[in-house]
Amino acid sequence: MTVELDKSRLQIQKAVRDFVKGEFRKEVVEKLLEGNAFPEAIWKKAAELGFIGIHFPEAYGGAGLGVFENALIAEELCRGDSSVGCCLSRAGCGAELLLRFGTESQKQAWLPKVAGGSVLCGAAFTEPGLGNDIARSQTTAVKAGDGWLINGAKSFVVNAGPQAGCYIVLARTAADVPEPARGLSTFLVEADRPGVKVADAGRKLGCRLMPIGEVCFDRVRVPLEHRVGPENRGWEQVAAFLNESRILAAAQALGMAQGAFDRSFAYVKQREQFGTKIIDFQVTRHKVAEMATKIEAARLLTYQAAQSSDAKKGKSDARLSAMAKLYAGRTAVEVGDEAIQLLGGYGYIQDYEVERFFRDAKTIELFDGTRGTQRTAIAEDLVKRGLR
Amino acid sequence: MSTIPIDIEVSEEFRRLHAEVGDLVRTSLEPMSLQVEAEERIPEETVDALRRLGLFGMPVPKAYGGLGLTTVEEMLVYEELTQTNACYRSRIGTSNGIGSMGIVYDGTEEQKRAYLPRIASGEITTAFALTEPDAGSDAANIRTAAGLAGDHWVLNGNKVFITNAGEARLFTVIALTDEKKRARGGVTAFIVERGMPGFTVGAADVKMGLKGSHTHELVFKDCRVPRDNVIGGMEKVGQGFRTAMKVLDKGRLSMGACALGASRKVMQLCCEHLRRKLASGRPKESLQADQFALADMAIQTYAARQMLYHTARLRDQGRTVTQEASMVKVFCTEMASRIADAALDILEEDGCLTANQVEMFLRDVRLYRLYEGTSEIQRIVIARGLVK
Repeated sequence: MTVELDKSRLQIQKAVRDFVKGEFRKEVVEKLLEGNAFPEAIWKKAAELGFIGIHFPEAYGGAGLGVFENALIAEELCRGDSSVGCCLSRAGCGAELLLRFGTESQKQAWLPKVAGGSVLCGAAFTEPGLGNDIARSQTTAVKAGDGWLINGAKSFVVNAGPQAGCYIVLARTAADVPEPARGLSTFLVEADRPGVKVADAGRKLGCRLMPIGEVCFDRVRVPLEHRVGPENRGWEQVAAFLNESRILAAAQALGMAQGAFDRSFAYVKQREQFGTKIIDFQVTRHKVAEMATKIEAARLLTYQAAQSSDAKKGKSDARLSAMAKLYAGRTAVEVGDEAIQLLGGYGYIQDYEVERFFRDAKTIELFDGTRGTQRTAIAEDLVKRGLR
Repeated sequence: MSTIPIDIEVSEEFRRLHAEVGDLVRTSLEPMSLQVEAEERIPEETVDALRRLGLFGMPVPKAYGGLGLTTVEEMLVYEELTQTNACYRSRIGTSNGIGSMGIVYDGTEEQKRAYLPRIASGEITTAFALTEPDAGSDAANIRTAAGLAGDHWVLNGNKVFITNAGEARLFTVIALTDEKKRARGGVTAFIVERGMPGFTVGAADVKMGLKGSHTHELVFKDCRVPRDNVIGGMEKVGQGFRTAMKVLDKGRLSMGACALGASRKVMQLCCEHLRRKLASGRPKESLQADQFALADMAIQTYAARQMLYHTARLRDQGRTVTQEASMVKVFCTEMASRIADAALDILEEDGCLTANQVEMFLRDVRLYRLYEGTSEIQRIVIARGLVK
């Protein structure tokens, strides 16, 4: 593979950089951070410029481009600002599941709205106390008359706030199955359905502008045609979705690592102590060298995972995706941590931003499966197919 | 559970104090930990409870109203007191350490009588002002200057990141009295009281963690300080850098004890979470990695404990422990960050919620690697001693 970006990708990259320069102004971001407010205005503008759902077909409001271009945008947005960036690049969280497995009318109903910036989409997979073990989901969906009746609670639902349009809900449709994963299906549930209740998750480590909440489904009735894909095949859909979204998470982490690097590198080139620019200390040089090396490696792996997904028409490789998420996520955490150290006491102060990049990076590392979950996925695939 | 390692001999009197500290942590401080985090302040009645135990004057000799604890005993208290929100320790930290020890070590008899009993009772809080915008790690590069004008000194300059400056009534301020000699006889330690003309305390910094403990900027503009307010009197003019460095020595051990206390608390939270995971039906074999991570935490804290108390004992025997104290600080504080990071993986998404505490510890312990000498400065100290 090659990582040279072609002309059209370079144009996209430049367009996002210009957007970041124009819209992610320090005073605007600070204002948002003060109230932990979703960046509504920036989100709308990003959608107008086509930065949301660029990988959706044109018929659904996208640009018909690939996972690669979507990742490239996420990288630049999160580099510009980790907190605003992660909101924008996750605006359609769960929409890819509709894109890959939904019916024509499901896609028509929701994808253009997500891409157009009129609603957010949220993936509702895990449950209180379930952690990464989502195959054991207890939320139930039972056929009742001409619809499904959904009951249960989902936690850590991204975008569970006032802007949410719909949730993709993983629910149990068969109880007596040898493996818990085999009795699950996914459903499209509008956020304003009676019985859908959202409770904000409260204060968190990072990604504080992104609404994350617990969503309760109390006898929520949806039409039969709201099931996404075949019955009892929900687990496969979610697994495929996670394989794709892990590439996006890797790209977000990559951007955060790059953004933390940019800020700390600029600092050490200008800051003097002991009569010397900090960059001229050998230890500092070796630190930035190490950071840059990790970022390049994370970029190669992330781009490769994205390219492979596009080559297989959106069927993302489980191993590559997990590797990209594992490595880029760790890189963002380590680079963010080192960036704080390079700034010394200033690194601990919100105004200098790197502590926030670090917190956002560690939060991203915990979502879409922790490091342990990625390692489990990689090993499972290795055992199945071997290395190469 | 309150524990004093069995190989450490302490008096019955101290054992009682240690148990009381433990009780206070469990019955009062810990239940209020998240409230302190959210409201960004410690209620005054809680500070009173710390006062009643004498915790503002642990190393202050009994003759001056303090507890007169040994280094080992003081570290034991810190380890106990930091198994909850780090801000409680921070509230008493400056009065026990950098804020008052200058007076204990080098103060005149008159200064000791005037200030130490009020410091030890907690009636007045002290702060220590060395760091400046251009003098962080390079402490000898300070610009704040003091000139003698008749019967008083005139101070001009700015100090930053001054812990407890909001509460403090008494400040140990390090200033230049001879621009040419600087650290070699040109730096002097002053006692500055809040309200002295020309001295103002700026707004609190917005930090990554230790939300209930605040740092501020100090501004000295033609601030008039009585002639006798040099720590140790006029004969100690020019000796301030030595005073400052002496003060930092024990501070480094204290940082180690705090990092160890935090690490032990995080471990305990991980054990509880792992038990919950098992109880919820997660297959045991899927939690092997968590158990290994826990084992690593235990290995590290075990090693850290030996280092800390060994060095504290050496110091109590009257030995110089500059290098060892630096080693303790680096090892324990870097360990605390590693442990909090690994702990978040065990908690999975739950880890990112402040309500589950671990993320708060991750943010709080991050400061330990930055203040009272960054890890880099410690390594310089250690290496310098080795090569010599």
